[in-house]
Amino acid sequence: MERPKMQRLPQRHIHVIAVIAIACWRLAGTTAVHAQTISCLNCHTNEMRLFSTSAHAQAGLNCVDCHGGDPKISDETAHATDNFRSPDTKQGIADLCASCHSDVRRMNPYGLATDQLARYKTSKHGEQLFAHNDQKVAVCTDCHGVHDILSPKTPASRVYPTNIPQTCGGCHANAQLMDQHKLPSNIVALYKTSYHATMLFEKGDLSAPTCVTCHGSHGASPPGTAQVGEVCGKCHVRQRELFDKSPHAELAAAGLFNECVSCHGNHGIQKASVELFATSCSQCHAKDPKQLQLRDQLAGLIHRAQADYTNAVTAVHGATVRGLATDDEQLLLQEAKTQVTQMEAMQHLLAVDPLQPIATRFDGIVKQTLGDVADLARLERWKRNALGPIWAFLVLMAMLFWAKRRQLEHKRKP
Amino acid sequence: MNDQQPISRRTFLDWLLAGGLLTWGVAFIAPVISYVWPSQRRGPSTQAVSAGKADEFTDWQSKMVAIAGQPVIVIRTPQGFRAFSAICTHLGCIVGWDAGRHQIECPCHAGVFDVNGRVVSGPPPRALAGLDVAVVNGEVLVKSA
Repeated sequence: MERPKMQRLPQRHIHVIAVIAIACWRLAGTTAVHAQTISCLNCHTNEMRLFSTSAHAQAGLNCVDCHGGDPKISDETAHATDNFRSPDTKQGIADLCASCHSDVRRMNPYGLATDQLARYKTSKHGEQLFAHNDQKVAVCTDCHGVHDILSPKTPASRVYPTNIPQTCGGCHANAQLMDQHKLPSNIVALYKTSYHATMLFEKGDLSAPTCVTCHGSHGASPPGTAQVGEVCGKCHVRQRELFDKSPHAELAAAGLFNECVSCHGNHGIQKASVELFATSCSQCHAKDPKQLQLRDQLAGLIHRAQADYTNAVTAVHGATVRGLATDDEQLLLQEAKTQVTQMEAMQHLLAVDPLQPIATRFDGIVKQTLGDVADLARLERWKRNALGPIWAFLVLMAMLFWAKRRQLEHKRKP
Repeated sequence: MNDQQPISRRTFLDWLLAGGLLTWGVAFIAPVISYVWPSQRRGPSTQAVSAGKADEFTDWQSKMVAIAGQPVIVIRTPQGFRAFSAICTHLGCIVGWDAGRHQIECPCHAGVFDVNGRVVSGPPPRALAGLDVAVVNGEVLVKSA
């Protein structure tokens, strides 16, 4: 049954009133936020400008969330509250950041770790700050910024992989500051010459190691002799595994050998090559002919394999350029590359015998590759040489046709 | 008694011409077969390549096949077949399948990829390139990218 018209009108009014009420409530909320912003803006324009694009602003935080104070007051008396915080020591900064970042419940929605302060206290920075009140060491804001803190995933962030060397270099390339702490100030410059830096800056590989990959971030400390292998082994798993089976492993365990660093260096580490044998082994074994002989055997085996591989690549490439079908040979090259790369890694065992079976397999693959390319070249040569007889045959045929024509013409004559 | 007629110059010329024509025909067709046949057999292909019959694979079993001169690893999982370029994204070694751990491993620097080709650990900077794979009439067909 249809309801009378008069009964429907009040219902419509209720809807309109509800919409207006919600709009007013939302406007009131916005005005409250603006009141906070506008109050701080009276004096802190620059800070507000920096803060506006920060990760904290994006998360909906405001000045009072870190600093407290009374945002309703528009002059300096806004600071005169019990909850006002503006730390003037680095310990205070660490504690202020940790008041949220160590709070599991507050960080859970953002999926952030809450152990940064605990880790920081184990770092050299944290030790210097909390144990020795050294106000020159790095604290949260020195690496992340103050008001303009960005997510580490943002390319403009101070802690984005490509910016980390510069961020650390802010202190660690400062000779005056490093001299006070008896630390070298050339490590960032050295890093920039390293293969790790080439991967990061030139090849754009964001997984390439930066300062924090080896030293840690919040718990930053230099790896000791015993930890070098562990640190490098995070990425160079296979080399680490093989090194542990080498004669050097025992010396490293006894603290007499600085594992990877002894041969490869640290901050200025270069791409490993066979040439490294010439310089690194003689540092300790210059007067040990037996070890130098082993070095020459290992280097010779790998060097010969690399040269053979290069020859095979050149041969297959040449055949491909000549238009020959080299699919099978390309596949053999991949197999050869696998063998030679395995040999390069296996030299960390510092023994020739384990490399021999791989070298033998490699030789077989290279021999087959070169043999296949030679067969293809022979076939191509044969086809080219066959052109001569073919042309001679065509000339002969032309002569025969000419003779036949003459014969037929002669026959037709009366 | 020798009743053989001496071959006339005309007959000889006809034989020579007939033989020549036959040779010309063979010579014309042979190179065509010689040049066309290998390119069909070995040339680069963007078509699907068979990795064998589907029932030849058990779950978590893999097979290596070559497509256009590149190694490809085909794995059967309970969810279906997967195919990836078998060239490690680190330094280009040929990877292998560890059926026990259900992961793809590189023998050179211990790079590890999961059954979806994603990097699990080690130095590879990116995942293995995936290839389309389908089972058609009981045959596992892999298509190059």
